[in-house]
Amino acid sequence: MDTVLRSAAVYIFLLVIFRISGKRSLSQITTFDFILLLIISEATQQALVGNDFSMVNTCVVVASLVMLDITFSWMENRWTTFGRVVGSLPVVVVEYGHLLEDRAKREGVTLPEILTAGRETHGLERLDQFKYAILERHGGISVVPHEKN
Amino acid sequence: MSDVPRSLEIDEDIAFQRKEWRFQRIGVAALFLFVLAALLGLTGMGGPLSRGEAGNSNGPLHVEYERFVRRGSSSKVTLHFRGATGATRFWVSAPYLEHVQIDSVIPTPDLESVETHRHIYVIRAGSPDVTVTLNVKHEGMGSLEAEVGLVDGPSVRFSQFSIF
Repeated sequence: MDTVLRSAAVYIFLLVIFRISGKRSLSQITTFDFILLLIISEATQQALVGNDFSMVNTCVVVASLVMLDITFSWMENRWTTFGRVVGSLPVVVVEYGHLLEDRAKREGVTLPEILTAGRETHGLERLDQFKYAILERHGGISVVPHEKN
Repeated sequence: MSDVPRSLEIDEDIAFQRKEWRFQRIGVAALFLFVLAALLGLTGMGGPLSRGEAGNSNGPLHVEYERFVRRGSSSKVTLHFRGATGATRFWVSAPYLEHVQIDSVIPTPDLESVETHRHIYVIRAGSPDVTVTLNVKHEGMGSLEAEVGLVDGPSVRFSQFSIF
């Protein structure tokens, strides 16, 4: 029982932490972010497994986490509001060539990052060539260019 | 934001988004407070607010302990005995021992005995001032009331709070 409760507590704690840190926190993983992820996983592993290194305990931890993930996915699909709370929503940050500064600032997205996304995906040179830039739920930036006349 | 109608089919909800931003700001503040509480010792394992003392430091029995401890983790309870003649005979209350497991007593007692409401330890030391360290592992949760005392002397009470 203890293992299942530990797994649930860690799952929910991590979920809350990553919701607090925002969409952009780990969307573009730098070397340091990668190391940070490894440290977080190592620290979490101790709390999940405790002092019991048995095979059964490992199976219970893995099964509990996967079951929680499946349950959360089901709940996200079943209840739209729950899905929004757990998984967030996309946000338009550029509209018809104009940066929506308040939104970009609150989401921690900078203009150079948006321009980079435009260059990488559509070869766009300037902001006025953007129709929309959207910060997606997963933290990536999608770009819709102006239609060519 | 522009008032031009969007051709974009997107489930954006700026009112919800504003709530999310507010939650994130509150969350960051809560995280800051959590780390601050951990630094101060409110989550156990040391820190200025976690250090507790009971009894008179110049008296026959003085106890140092952690106010906040963690379930499943160990902490030290240090007992300072002064002016003991012959063997130091002290006891730990049995109700406290129901919630903790004593991993070790340093120095190792020469004799241990169990009574209904207390466990007695006897240490023969060459000095009248003896310091005994109990390494205890906490198994209970919530408030743990403890009492330690000298068999033929005073006793002190202290309480620890065990968190998950």
